[in-house]
Amino acid sequence: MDAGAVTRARGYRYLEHTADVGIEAWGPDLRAAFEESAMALAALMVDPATVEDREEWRIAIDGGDPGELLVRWLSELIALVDSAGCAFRRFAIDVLDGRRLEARAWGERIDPARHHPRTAVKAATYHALAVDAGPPARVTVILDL
Amino acid sequence: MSDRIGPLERIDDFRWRLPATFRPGMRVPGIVYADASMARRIVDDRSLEQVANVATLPGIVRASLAMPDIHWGYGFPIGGVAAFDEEEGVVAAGGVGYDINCGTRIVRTDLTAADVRPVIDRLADALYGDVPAGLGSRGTRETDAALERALRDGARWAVELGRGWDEDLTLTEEGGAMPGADPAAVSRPAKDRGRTQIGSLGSGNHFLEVETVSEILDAAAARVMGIDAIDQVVVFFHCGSRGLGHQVCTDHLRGMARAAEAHRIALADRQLACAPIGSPEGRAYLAAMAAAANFAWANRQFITHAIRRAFEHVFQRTPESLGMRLVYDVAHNIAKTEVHEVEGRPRRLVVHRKGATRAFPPGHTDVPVRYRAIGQPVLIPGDMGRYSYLLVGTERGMRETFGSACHGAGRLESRGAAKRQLCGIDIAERMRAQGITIRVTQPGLLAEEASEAYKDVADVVAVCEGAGIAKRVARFRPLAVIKG
Repeated sequence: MDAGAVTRARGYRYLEHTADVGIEAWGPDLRAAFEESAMALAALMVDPATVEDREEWRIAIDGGDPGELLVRWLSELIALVDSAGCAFRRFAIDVLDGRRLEARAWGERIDPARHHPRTAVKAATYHALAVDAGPPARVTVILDL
Repeated sequence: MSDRIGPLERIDDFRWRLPATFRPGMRVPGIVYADASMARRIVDDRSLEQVANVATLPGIVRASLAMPDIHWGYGFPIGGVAAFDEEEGVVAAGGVGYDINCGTRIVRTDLTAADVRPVIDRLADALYGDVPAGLGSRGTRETDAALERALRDGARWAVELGRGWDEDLTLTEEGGAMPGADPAAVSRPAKDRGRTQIGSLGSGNHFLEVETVSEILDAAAARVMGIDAIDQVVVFFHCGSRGLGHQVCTDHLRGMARAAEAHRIALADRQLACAPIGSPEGRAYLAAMAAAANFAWANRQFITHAIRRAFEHVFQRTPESLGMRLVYDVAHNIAKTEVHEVEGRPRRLVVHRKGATRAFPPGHTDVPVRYRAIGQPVLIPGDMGRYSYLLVGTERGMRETFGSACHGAGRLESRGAAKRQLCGIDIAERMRAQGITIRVTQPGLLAEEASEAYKDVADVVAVCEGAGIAKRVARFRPLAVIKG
C-alpha cells in the first residue's frame, strides 16, 4: 500500500487551487479512499518512501457524517506532525462506519537531515468537501498549506 | 471604459460592485477593489462566488468587501473583509482562517546596504540558524504554565522574559496582547501543536527578509517611522500562530457547524460555519481566537529578539546602538470588535479580516501615539523576488472598508501551475543574479513562491492608494530571503 503500489483501483491525485492544494483520492471502498487521502497528505510533507516503519500511532474518531470524519481523520494526522514530529509511511483504516473511524498509522519521527521535509500543511478544510461512498469510493478535500 | 466585467459593475477606476442579485440570499452587495485588468482576472476565479457567499451571512453590515489581492480561499475569499453587527451578527472561524493572527512586522536599523552587503552571507546564516523555519522545525519548548502566559499575555509575556523592548509593545497592534483571551478555550491538542513552535517561522509563504529602502514616497511619514534614507536596511518578516492557531480553527469549526444548524443559518459552504456572536460557541471561539492571536504576537516577539541577536553577533554591536527599533506589527487574519460609523451612527461590529490588514486613519485612538498624526502603518509584503511596501491608513478607508487594506500581492497561479510554468528555470540562480541571498529549507518551494505566481504588489498597493483606502510611504527590496 505504499505509493509505488498504487494501481488504478486505488490512488490519489492533487487538484489545483490558487492558494492551496486539493486532494482527490479513490478506492474500492471508503476505507481505501480514506487511506489514499492520508497517503496524499503525507507525501506533501515527507516522501513516504524515505520513512521507516518504526512506530505505530492509533487514531479513533467518534461522531459526524462521512465528510466530517474525513476532515477529522486528516486533521488528526496533521496535528501529530506538529505535536509529535511524525513522518508517515502507511495507514490502515480498521473501522469506518457512519459514526466512527478507527485507524493506525506507521512511520517515525521527522529527522530533517534524512527526510528532507517538504511543505507544512496547516489544516484540512470543509470547502468543496465531497465524499462519494461508491463503489468505487471517491473523496475530495482541500488542504490549507 | 466598459461599465461591466462579467457580473461586476464598475463604480469608478478602482471599485466594482457585485450586485446583491448575483445569487439568492445575498443580504448586501459585494464591493471589489481592483483595476480593470485585475477585475478581468477576478471574474475568472472562484473568489467572487466566495464574496457572494459571505454576503449571505446574518448581520453583515454594508457590504462583503474584497481587497485588490483577493483570490480563491476556502469559505471566505483571501483578501476578504466583512463586518457583522455585534447584536445580530455572526462570527465565523473560517472568516479568520487557520493561521490566526498571521501578520507582518518590520524592524528598522541604522545600517545601510553598504554595511550589510559585505557580510550578507554571514548575516543570512545567523538569521537562518536563529529563526527556525520549515516543516518539523522547533522553536522553544514551553511548559503548560508558560503556554498559559503566552496565550493570555502575548508579546507582553515575551518582553517580560527579556525577549524585546517595552517600546515594542506600544508599536504592536493591540499592544501585542488582545483582551478577552481565555487559555482554557484552547484545546489540549492545540497546545500540544504549539508547545515547541514559539519563535519559529513555519513554511509556505512565510518569510524573513533583510531589505533595503528603495523608494520613499512620503518623506514626512517615513521619517516618523524611522525610515530615513534610500539604502537603509530593515528586516521584514511574516508568520503567525503556527500549529496552535491552526488547531483552534479546526476545533471551533465543528462547534460552529452545529451552532449554525441550531440557529437555522443556511450555509452556502461548510467552511462558512459560524455562530451568533453572543452564543456560547461564538464567545468560546472569540476567547480562543484571542488566545491564539496572542500566541502569534509572542511568536513574532521571540523572532524579533532572535533577529536582534543575529545582528548583534554579526556586527558586534548592541541592537540598541544599531537602532533596531520596531516600526510596527500588524495582523492580517483576525476578527476584532471595533466601533465604526454606519449610516451616521457609531455601531459595535465584529470585523473579520481574512488576508486583509487593519489600516486605521490619523487621529484614531488605537493608533500608537507616535503615529497618531500620520495614521497606522500598514505593512504589505510582495513576492520574494520584487519588493514590499509600507503604507498608512486613511480616513476614507475608515469610512469605506472598516479601516482595512490589502495584505500582500495575492496569488495568481496555483503552486502546481507555478512549478510547471517555471520548469527548468533555476529560481535560486535567478535571485542570486538579482543580488538576493537565499536560505531555504526546501528548494522546491522557490518555484511555488516565485514572482510569477503572484500579482505585482505595486499594482495592488496602487489600487489601495487610487481608491484612497491607504497611502504609500516607502518601498523596500530584498537583499536576503529566508524561507521554510
